[in-house]
Amino acid sequence: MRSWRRGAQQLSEELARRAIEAVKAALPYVVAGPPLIHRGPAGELHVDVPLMYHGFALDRIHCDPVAKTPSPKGRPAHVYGVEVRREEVVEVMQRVVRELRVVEAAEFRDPEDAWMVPLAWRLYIVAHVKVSYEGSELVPDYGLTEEVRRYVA
Amino acid sequence: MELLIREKLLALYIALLILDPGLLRRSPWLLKPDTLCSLATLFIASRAAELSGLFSRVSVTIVRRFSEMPFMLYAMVILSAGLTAMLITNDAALFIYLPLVASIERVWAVDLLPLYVMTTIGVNVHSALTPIGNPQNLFLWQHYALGFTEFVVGLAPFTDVATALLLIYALALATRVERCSKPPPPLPVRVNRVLAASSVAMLVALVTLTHLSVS
Repeated sequence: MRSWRRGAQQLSEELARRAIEAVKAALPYVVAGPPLIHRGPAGELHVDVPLMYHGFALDRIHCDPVAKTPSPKGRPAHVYGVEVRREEVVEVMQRVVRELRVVEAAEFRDPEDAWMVPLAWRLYIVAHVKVSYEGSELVPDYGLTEEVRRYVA
Repeated sequence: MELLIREKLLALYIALLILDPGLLRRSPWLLKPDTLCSLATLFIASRAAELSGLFSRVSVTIVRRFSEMPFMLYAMVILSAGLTAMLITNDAALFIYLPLVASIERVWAVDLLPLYVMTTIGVNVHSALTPIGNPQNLFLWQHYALGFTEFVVGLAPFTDVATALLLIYALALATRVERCSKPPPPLPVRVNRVLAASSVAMLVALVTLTHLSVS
């Protein structure tokens, strides 16, 4: 819809580069938020950790509480009969966040009018950061931000 | 038990009920629905504005511009909070500016406890200038049938002196602000426009209706 409003403005590699640079500049300010521990109907647990940028959640990283590593995006680890220690998850994820790197490529999502820049931990893509069309602002995940605030409160 | 420890006012209420069992019967008449509704609206509007990213956006701009001049930052927040209070009452102004200070603190990564205190004092000092600045003034304004200008001129010397003292104190406190080693954040977050517009509309509606109901 926004693209239609922009008329002739096109996507370019320069815009993608700007979005990637924006995420690189913001990455030092990204911290791991409080772990969100979800319990499924069969008693399974899965743990997500939000990536917070000045109080706003950008995306969630799935955390495998048994392996004590993040899971690739799109495949949350479901565990049964394991007691998840919140402090341990925080400790693991703080280390993971320090090791995150920005992937030098971006996809563009037209309906959201935003670039999606992947964040990688080792060989896994673990999260995406959404950046505005012109690369001037980060687009938080407002739904996740609300969830984090509800959860913490 | 945990609930009572957390909710101290509830614990106090139960203690009062033990001392005065008749209080339970009188309690519904002690509640002020209008005030509760106004406060609930203020809470919702303030929370929505904060969650929309509006405060974060403003904070990034303020910190980028004034991080090297803490006094200017203090003065700007205190005076703009005061100006707002003159128009929309002290309580409503606090619901806007305290979350803003919290947001500035998060963006700047420095301890801004003095600014919270100064903003609260500033809002109350400046709200004293106008008849619509706080409920007490509204009452006095109506009771003595004063004109708007007459009221403002009468109170101006007191608020001027208080403002001067406040700014001198702010200058003293601002010189002690520790400089943050980290530069201000490079990018703001995108404002959720629908949420921001709804919160502003809610606040405007509340203030307008409050003024209409008392005038």
